[in-house]
Amino acid sequence: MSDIIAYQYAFPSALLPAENGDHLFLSKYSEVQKKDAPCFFWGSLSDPYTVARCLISLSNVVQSSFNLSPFEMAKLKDPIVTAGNEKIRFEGFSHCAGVYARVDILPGGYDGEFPENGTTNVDFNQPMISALSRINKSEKVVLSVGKKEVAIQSENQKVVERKVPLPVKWIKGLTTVQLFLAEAEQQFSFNRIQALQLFQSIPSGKPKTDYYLVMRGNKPIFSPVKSVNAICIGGVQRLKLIEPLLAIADALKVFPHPTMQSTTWQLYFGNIRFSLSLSRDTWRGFSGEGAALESLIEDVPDNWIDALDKYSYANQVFNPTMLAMHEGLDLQMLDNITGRLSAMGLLGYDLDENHFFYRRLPFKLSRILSLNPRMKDAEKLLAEDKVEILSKTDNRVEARVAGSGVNHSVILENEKERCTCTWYSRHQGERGPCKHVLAVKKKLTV
Amino acid sequence: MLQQFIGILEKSREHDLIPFLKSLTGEEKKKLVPEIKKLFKEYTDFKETTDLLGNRSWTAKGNEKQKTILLITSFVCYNRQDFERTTFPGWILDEKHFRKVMDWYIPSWFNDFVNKLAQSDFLPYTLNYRWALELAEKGFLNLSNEIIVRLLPQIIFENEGRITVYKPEKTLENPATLQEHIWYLFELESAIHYSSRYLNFGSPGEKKTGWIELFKQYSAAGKIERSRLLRESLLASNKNFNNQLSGWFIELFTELEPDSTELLNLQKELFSVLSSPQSKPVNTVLQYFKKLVSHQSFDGNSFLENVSVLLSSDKKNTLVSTISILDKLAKKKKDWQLPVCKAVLPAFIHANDEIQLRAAKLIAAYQDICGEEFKEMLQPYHSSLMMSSKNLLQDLLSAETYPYQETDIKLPDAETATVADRLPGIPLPESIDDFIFLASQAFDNNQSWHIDILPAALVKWQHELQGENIARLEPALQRALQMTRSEFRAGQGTLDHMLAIFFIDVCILFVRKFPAYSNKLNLLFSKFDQKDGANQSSWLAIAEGEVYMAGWDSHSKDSFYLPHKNLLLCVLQKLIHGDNQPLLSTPTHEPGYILPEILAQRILRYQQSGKPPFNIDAQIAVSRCLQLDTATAIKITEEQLEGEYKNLLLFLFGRHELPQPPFENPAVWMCCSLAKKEKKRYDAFAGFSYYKNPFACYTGGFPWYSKDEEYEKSEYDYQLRKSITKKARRKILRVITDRTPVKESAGFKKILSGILSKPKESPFCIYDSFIVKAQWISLENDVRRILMLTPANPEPFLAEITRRFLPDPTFSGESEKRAVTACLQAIYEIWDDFGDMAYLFLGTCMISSDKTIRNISGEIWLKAVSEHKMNNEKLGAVIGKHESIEFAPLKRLTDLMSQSMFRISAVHNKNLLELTETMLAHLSDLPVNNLKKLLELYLELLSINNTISNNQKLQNKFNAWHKNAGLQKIIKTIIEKK
Repeated sequence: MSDIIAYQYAFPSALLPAENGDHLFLSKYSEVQKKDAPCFFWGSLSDPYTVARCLISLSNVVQSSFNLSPFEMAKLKDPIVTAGNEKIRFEGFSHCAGVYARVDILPGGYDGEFPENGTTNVDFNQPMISALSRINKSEKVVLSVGKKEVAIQSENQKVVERKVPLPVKWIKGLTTVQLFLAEAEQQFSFNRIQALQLFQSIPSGKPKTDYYLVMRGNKPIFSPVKSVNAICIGGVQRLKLIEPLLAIADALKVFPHPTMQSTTWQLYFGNIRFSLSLSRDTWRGFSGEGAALESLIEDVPDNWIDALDKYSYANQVFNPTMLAMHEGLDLQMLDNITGRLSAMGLLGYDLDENHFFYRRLPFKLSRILSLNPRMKDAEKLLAEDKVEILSKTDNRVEARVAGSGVNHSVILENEKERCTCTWYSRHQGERGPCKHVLAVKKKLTV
Repeated sequence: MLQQFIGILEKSREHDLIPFLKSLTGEEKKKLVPEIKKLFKEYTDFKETTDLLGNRSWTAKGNEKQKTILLITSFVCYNRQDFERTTFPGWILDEKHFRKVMDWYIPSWFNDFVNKLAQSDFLPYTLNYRWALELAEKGFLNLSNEIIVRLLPQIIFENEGRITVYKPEKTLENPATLQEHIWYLFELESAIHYSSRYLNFGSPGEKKTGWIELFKQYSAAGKIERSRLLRESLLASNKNFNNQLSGWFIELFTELEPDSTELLNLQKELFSVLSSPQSKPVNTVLQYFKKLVSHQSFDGNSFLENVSVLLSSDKKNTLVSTISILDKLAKKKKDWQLPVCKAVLPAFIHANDEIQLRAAKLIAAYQDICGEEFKEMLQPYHSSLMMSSKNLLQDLLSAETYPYQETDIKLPDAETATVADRLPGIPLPESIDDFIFLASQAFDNNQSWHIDILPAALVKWQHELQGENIARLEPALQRALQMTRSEFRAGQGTLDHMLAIFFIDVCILFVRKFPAYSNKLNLLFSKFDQKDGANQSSWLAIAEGEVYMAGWDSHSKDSFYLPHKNLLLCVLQKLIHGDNQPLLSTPTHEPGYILPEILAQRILRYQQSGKPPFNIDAQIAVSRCLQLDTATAIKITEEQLEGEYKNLLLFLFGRHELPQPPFENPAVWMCCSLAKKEKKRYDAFAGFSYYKNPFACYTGGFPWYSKDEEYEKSEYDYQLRKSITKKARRKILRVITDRTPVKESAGFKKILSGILSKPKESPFCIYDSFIVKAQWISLENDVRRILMLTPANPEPFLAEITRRFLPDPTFSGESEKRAVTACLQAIYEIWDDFGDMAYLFLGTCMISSDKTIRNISGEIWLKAVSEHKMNNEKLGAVIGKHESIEFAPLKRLTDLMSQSMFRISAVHNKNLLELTETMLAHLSDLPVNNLKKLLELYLELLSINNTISNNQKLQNKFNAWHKNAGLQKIIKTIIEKK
């Protein structure tokens, strides 16, 4: 399979002058489009000023990189949009895959229709983004995701094709971040003043050390010193991406992952939400975290995916039990199905509503599944017969796995799993299981 | 065919080349490719040559003509991939070459090839705007907008000899240039802003040149549409271009000098610029708005919509301009007064008296119309209001104070819980499995105490490590051996290298003890044996009874690694002799403490076994022992211990006020006395040789000064072409770590007593190792572990850290910065009301050039104040002395104070006032920069603490500073405050 992906847009996205205000037309493309679905949403925005600012911030996230060279940065990726179930969600990743952003336009945030539902890439070109900044509060703006009327297309416009290397990190990140979100819990809620005060304490430059969100009286601040119950943030300067939105937000809520592997910062503007999720550190993308690996140990039967595609529509709340009942699936196998499907790019997570929603990434499934090198390495270990189970009881498994030059000890005991390899030694399981643990677990399922 | 080509090439017959190439069929070209590649390499590769005189030079075989022949031939014969791999393929675009080919051969990939070149960082010089247009006109090239904006900026500059001449008329040669192409410059990022930066225009100041001048000139002449130009330049200043380019476009807009009518017509675009992330465009637009605001058709509502974003800016100019425009708006129209008052409220989140006062004055002017709704909106800002603003707005603020919580940054139940409850424990591995997994991560420095736990676990589990278990050490041994090849990872320090060597010794020990189970370890050792030609050094070749650890030393040969080294050597002894008596010094609680009762129990086990503990182990153990909750420990000691260690522990736990003999282990007694809160000399130790050294070597209490001094610096003089010595000034902090033994007076009595009781040379004491000598050193990953050897007395090493890493107000490198950060983080955890050196370190860090370091210092202050362990007199004196010579910008401190230390709790406010007063009292009579800000904070603190300034020393300072016009007002307010 080609490792180049070509975004092909019929014409570029643009903010076009219309009869009563402006028309924000977003051109879409998906390599897995099942049928001709010209338009996912068409309608007016209730608060175009805020939506425009949120989309500018999203584009800033998409254009940012906190650990890559400028050459890599030139390969622009486009955000994806999921429209359906009365919600429009825009998602994007920074180049380094360490920052995830999502704009949710909720019911009440628009007045329009969803002719079709689905997920697609949308063209985020610079002139369109620049044009967004001129939308002011009194402006009326109609948004369309995809083409509803032929009239929008002017004569000289041509197909926009942008070939970029397959955004592997993106796709992996998009699948992994949902699992982090699902585990995150709200710890703080700040009003606008507190949020502004908090962001004033972000140190300038690129601090190398972790920062911690702590309360001083009723004032939140970032402190470089670890303290009890503080939220840990590596690469705190990345938060500056949402700084321009603070002054217009009603509230800021902070959702840390239980072991501080990520933090999510959600801004609320009436019926619009902007979430920013940061990975553990600038040099760690969500793509490399391996949180989804555990879910991929057992193969997912094809009929599950077919069933999911058949019964679900974009943004629909995902209910695993219903799926099982429809398809007569073994309820026992439902354990962790959400993790599995989200690892395959089929589910997103809504922190406020506390549920997964269906959203099929606009990339071929085969691409997504081929993106887990640690899983592939584990399979290779099994294929080469390098895994030996030494002992196995109800709650303890001891195995020996041949590594590079040495044999590693793997012990799975109750919920705890340990390995003597370098990856495990350095990360102590915080970044997902190592290939040796995966191989042992996979062997146990066979 | 090949021979024909070789003939052309060898004889440089350029004129025969084109007819030859034209005659080739596609198939023939393909056949030629491999041969051309060889010839290309032969003629263009640089080789070293030596002339008759022996001078060496690097030259290629081919001359210019031959290189051209090869270039053109490869263009005609190669496919795109091969051609792009040649050296400088962009040379083919050189007009003089390309014209020979273009009429009869243009490959299908030509357009893509050129467009790809245009995407690279550097465009080949062979391509220019005029030439590209010609190629496009001929249909050879599809010019993308991106190429145009890369080429266009250079068109108006032409080189005439060494001088560049400005030729704006070049833009008139092709109608598309002004009609179409220049507008792409406003759409796509280009280098137009520095297109003339490095050009030499001859004598300066003669004539204005450059694109801004061109735009002014041609728009005035009607060649460029002025209204479009104004609009586009405004919009381009907010198109996510880089900072300089955005700034250039707003400068262009300003240079075009738009009049009021034009500006009013462009209001929508001007408002859109307010959301720019860059401050220059925003501030420029605000300046225009200041002029426009009084105009009838100024869109006040749109401005009000943008105020919340503008007032969240951290740029003072933006804030001042915004408030000033709001002021004018309110004056202009009565209906806007209340909305203006509401809009200006976010200004109060800035802890800046001047900004707040401007906003407060604006509100105060219209407070009659500010009703209950407004008061409610103001209330959340109450806690961030400065006193002067608060006074102005007191009628709008409700009588009751806004819920202002005292911060609790103490540990939970600090007063009731025991130490063991409050501090997390450090567990020892509970099984062989645990040990194996610990060993495999021990050199990663995941936890600073792993260097203590691994040897302790080895002592504990040594008898279980036999048979099959030996092979399980393989992964850990592999990592240890990798470290010996300097394969360091982030976070690993020299101590991890030392631990790796120790572990290798341990493995060699096991290999020899259990040869039947050691095949895998043997194999691993042999993989890491070093081969240098015929010489081979094998890890396992070390003689029986010898260990690599004994010869270990750091690259820097610094002595502060000795305590760890000596301790690990002792552990090796224990392993060699099969002794599984636990070490005394293994920490039990984070970050590196030992509970007193556990130390007592460990010593008891030694006493019961009849074996004495290792001296170094005992030194570290007593240094790490917590002196809190000692009742149980005292009971065990009094009831079960005997002899020297009984007295030693009772002295350590404060049961004995003075040390009681016997003193068989002077180094342990020394460490014991230094682990106590009060660091003092004891008569009983007069015979210890340590007392011959200055006592500061053991307490860190070395003298210091910060000074503005003249020094000689070496500089390269480009005109003289040599290094010269120049006089310059610098500010420097010197810690005088003089360790020369004190000479005793040679009186008769002294001589006699000297003869009678000459102090014996006492054994190595860990404190004697805390000296940093190496010039280049990376301490960031070790400093914490060294400080945790003596957590109750870190100052001797802190003195070295301060002397070595903090002599300048600015860090000389990242390594220093990281070492100080790591040191501060450790000090944060073990802070106690330490001595003068700790305050020197903390105070210097508070004004350091690194914000993270300043913030951590601030956090130490906050925590210490909460725990009543802060001496503001000492800290204030350090900072005051530094700032009396303006060692570092005072702003670093005032920013830290206002952002992190201010209004934390009543106790903190009181402490901050004490700190500020002490600092002010130590300042020089000549005001330093930013003193006004410190005085403003002082006034604010006086108000918050509801007190007045009555410090006599300060009164004298005020009298001296009062002469400075800028300070008179604030000093008057302070003095008159009641």
